[in-house]
Amino acid sequence: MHRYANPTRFLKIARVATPIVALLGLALTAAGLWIGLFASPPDYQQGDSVRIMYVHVPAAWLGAGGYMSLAIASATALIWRHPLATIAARAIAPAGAAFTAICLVSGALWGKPTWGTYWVWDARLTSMLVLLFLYLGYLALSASEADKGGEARASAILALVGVINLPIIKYSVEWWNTLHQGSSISVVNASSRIAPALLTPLLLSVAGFSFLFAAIVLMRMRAMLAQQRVDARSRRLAEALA
Amino acid sequence: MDGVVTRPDLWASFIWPAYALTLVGLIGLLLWAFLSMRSAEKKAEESRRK
Repeated sequence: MHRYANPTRFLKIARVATPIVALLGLALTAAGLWIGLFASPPDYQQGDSVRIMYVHVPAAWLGAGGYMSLAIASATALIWRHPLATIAARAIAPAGAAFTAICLVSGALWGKPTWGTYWVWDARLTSMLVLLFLYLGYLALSASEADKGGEARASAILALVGVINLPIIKYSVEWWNTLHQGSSISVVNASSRIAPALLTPLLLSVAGFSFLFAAIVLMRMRAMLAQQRVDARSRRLAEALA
Repeated sequence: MDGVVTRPDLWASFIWPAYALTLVGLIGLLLWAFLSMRSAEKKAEESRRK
């Protein structure tokens, strides 16, 4: 890992990887959503509204998974001071926040026909809303730290403290009586209670959304590294002129 | 009806609004990331040449 913490080496790889990852993401997402909309059968209970699952579930997984990545990058920045770790964390946060927002909005739209309400202060929904607030808090704090030119310590600590919300999200449907259904897919046991005709487009969408998330993070990291180079040159020039 | 896939009504059950909002969000995010990267790398290249 230390080898790739070198920004020059990282940029060399990122320049090649970005278009490949973005195109894979677009292709897999298009395939997953197309099959989900037009080729997969309706659910025997929910009817056609189950098709919202193909956007809601991948967005939820990436919202929560993105936060885990944000926390790992923040821990790496705090412990090993990798030059790329803070940049990675700052690149992950807006993408994670956007995917969490997509999850909440698509979930509300799925809730209306299924539960009869857009929103309820249920444990799963509330903990996902808390996740969005954690992302927004991280974004505000890291923007303020970046403006002051200081180290990203406070935002990294906030990211680590917020990890406590991830098991709450995961087990909220078991610990409390909730309107939200329990998990249908177990990554640990590699098992699923979803019929293959519905599972195929869901997995395609999950893969597509994951590649799109990675492409967004890579592009943001490249943008921030380029901005750092500009700032460093401006500082050197100002020092030389002084 | 077993095994028969019928064409869904995208307007029913909020399917269309959910997909439209998701796609607008995803494409918007991708475009923002791409444009900010392109503009920052252009600036870095210009400052390197100076």
